[in-house]
Amino acid sequence: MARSKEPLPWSFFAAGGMISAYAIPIMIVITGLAGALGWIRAERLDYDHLRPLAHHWIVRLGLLVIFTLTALHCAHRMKFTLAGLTGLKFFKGGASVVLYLLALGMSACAALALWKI
Amino acid sequence: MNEPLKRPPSLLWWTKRGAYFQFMMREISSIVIFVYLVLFLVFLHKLSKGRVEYNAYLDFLWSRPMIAFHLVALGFALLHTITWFNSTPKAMVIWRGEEKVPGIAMVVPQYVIWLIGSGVVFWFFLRH
Repeated sequence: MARSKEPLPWSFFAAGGMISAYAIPIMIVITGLAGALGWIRAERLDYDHLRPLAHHWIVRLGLLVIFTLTALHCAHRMKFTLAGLTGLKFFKGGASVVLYLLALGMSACAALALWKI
Repeated sequence: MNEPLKRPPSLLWWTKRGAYFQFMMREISSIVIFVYLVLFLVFLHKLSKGRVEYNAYLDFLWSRPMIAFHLVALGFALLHTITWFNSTPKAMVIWRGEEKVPGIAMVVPQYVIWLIGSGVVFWFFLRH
């Protein structure tokens, strides 16, 4: 019986779905809305406050894990979404590899940025 | 043997029924969240570059069009969270002896943990 290649990408999809469900809403609120709309004082997100917090290794590791798993989850889901919206099976074929590589590339860039903070 | 002619589905197949529309909105959330990840990646990059570049990026991120995007992104992120939590009983069936653990026992704790965790993070930025 042929073995499916699906379990490995699906496990990243599942982990990414779980972690993004918990983390992404509050990340959007903090980075994009709370300071901009005055829900918190804008100084809380200025360079002098944020850099020491982001420099801590636990925060950097946590952000990297959240970023990578969410990116892989989105890549896995996007191939089906784009195929469903366009009707092109291409998105489920070769294009899916491009999406996964894009997610991994972005995660590598995030790792580099977090390393430099 | 002649096979029946299959009409190709319309590209707007997902607008025909409420259930299809909900499904596609959930799937589109992956694209919106991916765009947010790009913005967050730049956020991290600018933070690593220093005060001047970080402040300039914050001016862009907190502009009106970007606030509008973040509100839309938050809507899609919440849609993902709610549909993900609510589908846990279907994805994971747990047996206690001969009885299934009720779905609500798996769903409610996730909401509680999520709300408490998010509240703690928000409180941290509110107070420190």
